[in-house]
Parts: sequence; structure tokens; C-alpha cells
Amino acid sequence: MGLTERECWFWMCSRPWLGVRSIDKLLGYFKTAKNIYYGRNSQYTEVKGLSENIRKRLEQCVEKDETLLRRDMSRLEKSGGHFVCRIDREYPEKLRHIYDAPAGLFYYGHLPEKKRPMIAVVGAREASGYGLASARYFAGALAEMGIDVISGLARGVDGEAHRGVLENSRSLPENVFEAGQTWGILGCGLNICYPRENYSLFEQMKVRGGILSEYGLDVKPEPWRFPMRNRIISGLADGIFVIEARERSGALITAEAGLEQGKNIYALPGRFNDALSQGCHQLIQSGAKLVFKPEDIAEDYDISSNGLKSWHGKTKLALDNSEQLVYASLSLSPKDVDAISAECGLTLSETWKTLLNLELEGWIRPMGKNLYIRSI
Amino acid sequence: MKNGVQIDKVESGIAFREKGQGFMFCKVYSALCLGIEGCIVRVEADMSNGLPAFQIVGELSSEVRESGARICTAMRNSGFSLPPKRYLINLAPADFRKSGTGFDLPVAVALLCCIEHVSPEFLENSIFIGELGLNGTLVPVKGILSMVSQAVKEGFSNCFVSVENAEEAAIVSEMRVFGARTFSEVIDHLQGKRKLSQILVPTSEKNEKERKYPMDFGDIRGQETAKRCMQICVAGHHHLLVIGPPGSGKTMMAERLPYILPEMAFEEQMMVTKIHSAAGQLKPGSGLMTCRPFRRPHHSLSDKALVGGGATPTPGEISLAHGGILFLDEFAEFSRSAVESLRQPLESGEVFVHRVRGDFCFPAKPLVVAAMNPCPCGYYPDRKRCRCTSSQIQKYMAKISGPVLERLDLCVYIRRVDYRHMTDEGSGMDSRQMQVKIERAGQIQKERFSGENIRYNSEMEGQMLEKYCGLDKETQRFLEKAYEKFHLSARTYQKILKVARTISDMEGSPKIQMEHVAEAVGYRLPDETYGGGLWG
Repeated sequence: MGLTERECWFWMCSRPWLGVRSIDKLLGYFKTAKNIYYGRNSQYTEVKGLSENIRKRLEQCVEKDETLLRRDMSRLEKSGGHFVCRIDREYPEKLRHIYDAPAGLFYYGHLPEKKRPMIAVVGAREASGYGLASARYFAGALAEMGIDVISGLARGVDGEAHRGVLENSRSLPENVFEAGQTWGILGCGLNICYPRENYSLFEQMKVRGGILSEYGLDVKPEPWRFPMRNRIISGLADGIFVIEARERSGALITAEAGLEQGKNIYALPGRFNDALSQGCHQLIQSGAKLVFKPEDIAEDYDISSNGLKSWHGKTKLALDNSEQLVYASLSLSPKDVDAISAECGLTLSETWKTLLNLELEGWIRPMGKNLYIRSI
Repeated sequence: MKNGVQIDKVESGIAFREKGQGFMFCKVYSALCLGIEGCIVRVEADMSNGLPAFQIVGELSSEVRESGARICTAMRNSGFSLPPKRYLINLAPADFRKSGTGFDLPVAVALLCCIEHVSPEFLENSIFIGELGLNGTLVPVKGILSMVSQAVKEGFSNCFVSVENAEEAAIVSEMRVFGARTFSEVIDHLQGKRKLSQILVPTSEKNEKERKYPMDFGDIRGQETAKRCMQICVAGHHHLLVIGPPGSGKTMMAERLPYILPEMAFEEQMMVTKIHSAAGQLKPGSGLMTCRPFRRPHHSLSDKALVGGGATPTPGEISLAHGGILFLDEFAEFSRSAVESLRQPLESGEVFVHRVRGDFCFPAKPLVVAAMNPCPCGYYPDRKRCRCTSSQIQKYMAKISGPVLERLDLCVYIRRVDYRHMTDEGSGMDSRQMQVKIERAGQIQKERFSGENIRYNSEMEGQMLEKYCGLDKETQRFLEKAYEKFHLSARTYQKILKVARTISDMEGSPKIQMEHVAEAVGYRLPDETYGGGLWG
């Protein structure tokens, strides 16, 4: 009869109107979740600092529908999801120590392990080709060295970082696929894939790592929820690597939260006048570690980078003259065919032939129509 | 024929005379323009005794029905008054709708013939087309060229039109064209008082002079890829999609395209002029259109305006651009239905407009150049300026997906011009240089397709592709690799072959080389299956 303590935690965590701060206030008064659930109206009024709205909601019996609660729990279970809360032993140790630690987490896949270092790779959603390419490269390289990557499953840098990990682990034999794991933290309900275009990424990550959210099922993605989840990203990570960020970017919120939590901050430099790198430069100026090769991060965790393929290290022997010429003229900012052909002194036909050969071999990548960058 | 009155038959049925009464019946020829085809109309006038009345019959549209009052006033103001009798005008054949304003003049002439101001013998072999103003001036009408060419086919040798129409009518050299300013000038001529002089257009002696480029590609600095793409597009008649930020010169380049298209043959010029004339787009006093049309419809236009239609079907933009360039700027802003309606015409080269009164067919073989921004703000992939989200960009691109992309063969990105290029003097190809290769490709295609029913590489289908686009082993392997890597569709594959054929024709190479294929792959259109959008 009645709900178990754990079910009460589930109930508490899946209320979209009940934030972690209010939960802490309630727990301070009631001590257990069960007491909160079965609390009397008069008791709710005694809780200090509880907002009127939450108090009213707690008093409503609509919010305490057991059948609905059980349905939600089985819904989560059927979709392959799990729930973990502070009273569980599996609750990530790293999160216990952060400020405003989430009361519970809903997740697909599995929870991050303690034994392996975890780096948060974060950055702008509207990143440049440079940002996207480097996110992919660094995340992939970190995964290869046995470092897990955590990010926000958003557009731009976040998604690319996840992709980099998955791509890199694909080439590994099955038994070591542990090497490429990545976790994504959502700012919405676990069953909502936002943004839509990351759907395939979403599905893959359920197997190769996990997807975590502190919000219950069906919670809509709302702008204010996203900065909130950043504290979980930084909390779970050992270091925060900012790839590309504008002066007032969400990625900087993550870095700031990480700083408060005592994590290492890394930043990728850009060009001095690049608006998208301003945030990174500020971080570097105020003491973040400048990262220009994956080993820069790895060395902080005593991980050797033996056998890591460097992006300079691709053997150029396979390239013929004009291919070398064209490859040399490219960089990480998009360049168009016109400029390439003018610089290399090739006719347009020759340029196209060379570019396509390079692209087919994976040396370069198109950025939109007629624009190419080096792939790293 | 009236009871008990003896009637003389005069002049092989052109007019009948009642004793002492003037001609009771008189017949004059005119024409109207249906779609872009001329059609001869007989204007019969009959005068009889009875209560004074004036009636026009013969399946009239409203503008013809109300012409009676206009004609009477114009005649009076020109110094001719009609005796108070019953007048009946019949426009024959009576089984199709008469529209247009060109019947004022023939009706007036027929009436004057009835009251014996004009001798009927002058009316044979002549057609009269023109609208009358109330003061008796002769006003030009649309579609003169179609009417006059039809008249020549049916054996007419004189034609009377407004002086503004005369030049256009005189394109038909077999016709003696008289252009008059006023109604009375026509009558003076018919009465033999003051002859109008025949309008002659200096027969276009083959202009062997150098071709002129009023707008030259040489004005555009840099942008060699785009120019190259334009060259290919013209050489093989491949429809083109240009993507670029605002102010990168998309419009500027498209405007220069008509001048590097091969010159039109006389038949083609006739057709283009007919279409423009029927649509009333010809400037008064202008003759044959020798310059290929360039149409730039605004993106808010309706699908009817684009492909043609209306109660009295008139050619749409796609037909007006026949033989020239149809430039669709801000392509993504065009309404879905307008863009969809382009599909069938571009495939068949003709627009069919079906109406209860009959079907109309307009030729529609323009070279389509569509232009659009890469994203809503226009600056992608320059992330310093563009802050559109990737879903916004994808949504923007999705507007042109599907059936429309099917019709376009080439795609090129134009970047903003660098200052360095802007100040460069005389760099890059100009129109004359571009035309060399286009002409070469044109010549090769002409020889290649002499046995086939097509003219351009872009029109090749099925068997012809295999026949004319053979690749050697190495090139085939290359294309296969690209096909797999870029997830190309079968349709894109065919387009690449056609474009590669054009490029090799331009280079004068009988075989398609690997770099030709590579270049064609580079100019391919984004595939739907390719990452869900243009930018992958």
C-alpha cells in the first residue's frame, strides 16, 4: 500500500514545476521524499522559502495520481530508460559534490564510470567550419586515448563532439568499444529529441554511452532549462574544453560552473578577430589552458598518447603534385574553388578533379557549395 | 435580300447593291490573335431600312460589344456621318469568341463601304486591323505579327494598321503594309485621294558585323567559377541554380547571359516577336526582336503569370522568355505552386492552356537561371556575419527541394567579391572569349544531334546518354566512387553525364575526360538524399 521511498523520489523528480532548490528546501523540512508526498497541507505552509505556486501544486491531488505515476515509470522502463536518485548507490559520485546537484537523473544507456576521465567538449551552436571540424577531431582523439566525452547534444559543436567519438569508436574492435563512449545531457524530457536533426546521434548514443536528463518525461525544451543542465555537464566532467564560443555564450556558463566546481578549463584558440573565438580567448587570458593538440588534455590525466594519429601525421606520400598544391592552399576556413584555382595556377577543370580526388580520399571536406576546408 | 427588290451582284460577293440605295451588304477582312496564332475574321456589314439601329453580332467579348458607340463617334469626328438606318455588323465565323480591339477599323471601313464612300474593289485582298480613338486616331493593337503572318498564308496582300503597328507588321515581307495615323488617312487612301506610302523594313541583310555586347562579362571581376558555370549552362542549355550572398553579382551575371547565347535564326526571332506581340510586351514602333529576351519576374507572381493563362489566354513569363533567359531571383521566395507549375513546361518546352473555347499552346523553352541566398540572412557559410541556425538554413533550402531541383542541372556558389578583385583591371574572361567555347560546343552538338530530334546535350535521354556519353574505365571508376561517397541519385548521375558531355564539347574533346566528369560533379545540385539539405 502506498508508494515506496524511491517511487516518491521519482514522483518528485518528474514534476516539471519542482526545481532542485525547492526539493532541497522540502527535504530540509520533511527529511524523506515519502514524507513530502504524504505531507499535510499545514506542513507545506511551514516550509520556509517555498513559493506560493509550488505549495498550491503540492496540495493538489491531481499532482499525486498514483496510476499516472506508475504509468510514467513503466513508460520510462519500456523505452529502455532508467532512473537514479540521490538515495541510490549508483548516483554519480561526482554529482554529489556540486552545488544544486540534481535530485534524480533519468537516463538511457548507462551512467558514466568513475574510473575513466571525462572531458566536456562544449561550444557554440552556430559554429564555423573550423569549430565543427576541431570539435570532431578533438573528441575523436580523446576517445581514442580512453577519455570519455560529455556534451549537450545540441547543434553545432556539441553534436559534432559526440559524432567525433562515435565515428572514432566505430573502427575499433567490439571488445574495446569502451574506448569510444560519450554522454549527452538534455535540457528537456528524456523522450524528446531536441534538436530533431540529432535523432540518429540520439539513437547511437543510447548504446555508446548514455543520454541523461534531470527532467521528467515530456518536459518541453525551454530556453531557461539549458543553462541549468550545463552544471550537470561540468559536474560530471573532469575538465571542460571550450571549442568555440562567442563573448556571451552558453559554453562559458558551463566553463564557469566547472570553475566553481574546481574542474580544469581548456580552450581552443582561434584567430584574434574571430567573434566566435572571443569567449575562448577570454578564458585563456584568465587562466584556462590553451589546447592545440589532444595530448595537451591527455597529459593532465596521465594518459599517454602513443599511436595517436595526429592531423599533421597523415602521410602525404599518396598525393600527387597538384593534390599537394591544392591541399597546401586549404585551411580550416572555407575557401572557394575560384581562389584555389587562382592560387595553385590550375585550370578550373584540373582544380575540380584534384578537389574531388582529395575529397574522395577524405583529405578535405566541402563546406556548402564550391567551398572546401581541410578535414582533420 | 429584301423582298421584291432587285439586287445586283457586284464584285464576286464582296458587296451587294440595292437599286439606288447604295450597297446593302459589304464585307471586309480583319484578324484577331488567339493565343499566339492569328485568325482571319470576316467583318460583314449590312444596312437596311427600318428604325435606326446599330448592332454587332458574332460571339463577341465585351470589348468588341462596346465598340459600336466608339466607332460611330470616331467616324463622325473624322467627317463621315451615317444615314439613320438599321446597321447590322456580323463578325464571322460566328463560332468562336472575338476579343481584342482591332475590329474598330474594319467595321468602320465596312460601314463606309455600305454608304458608298469606299469602293468595294479596294477591299479585296486587304485586311484592316486597328482600334479607333473617339477623335478618329488609329490606335495600335496586340498580336499584329501573328495576324499578318496568318493573313499572308491565306493570300492577302495589303494590310492597313496603325502607324505604331506598321513596323511590326512589315516584318512579314510578302505583305504590303500601310500604316495610318488616323481613320481618315485610311479612307483617303482607299478613295485614292492621298495614297499612304508602303512601310518597308530594311531587309535584314545578314549582319556580318562584329557581335556587340551591350553588357559584357568582362565587367565582372573574379568569379571565374561562376562564369565558367554560366558558359556551360549556355553551351549545353542546362538550367542553372546560382547561390550567393546579397550583392555578389548574381543578377549582374544573369543579365549578361542573353548576349552570349547564340544569335537567333529568323524563325526564332519571328516566334519570340509573336509571343511578345501577343502579350502586348512589344514596344510601339519596334520591329523584329533580334535580341534574346531576358525576363526577370518578381517572386510574388502567380502561377498563371508565370506559365500563362487568363480568360483570354496570354503567354506567361516562361513563354516570354522563350529562346532567352528566365531569371528567377530570390528563388526560395517564389510560391510553391508557381514553382511547381514550371515543371511540365520545362519538360515539354510548351505550355498548354486548356479552355472551354479551345486549347492554346505557347512555346516555352527558356534557359532557366534561378538565384537564391544560401540562408535566410544570406551570408552563410560566413559565420562571422551569419547567425542563422542550421535548422533555419535547412528549412530555407528545403523550399527548393524535390521536383524543382529535378529540372535544374547545374549549381554554383558565388562569393562576395574581394576588394582585390574589384580593382583588378581586365582580369578574367569577357563575353567574347566565353562565346568561343560556347560556339564550339554548339557546333559539335549540332553535328552530333543532326539525326536526332534534339538540339542540346541537356535534352539527351536514355539511349542517347549511353550512345554519346561513354566513359573510359578509369573515369568510370572515379564516377562510381563519387556516386557512392556522395550518395548520388540516378537522376543526378545522368545530369552529371550530360554536363560532363557539354564540358568536353566546350574543350573540343571527343571523349569525356576525367576532369570533365570531376567538374560536372563539382557543379552538381544538392541531392535530396544527401544529408537532408544542401549543406550536408
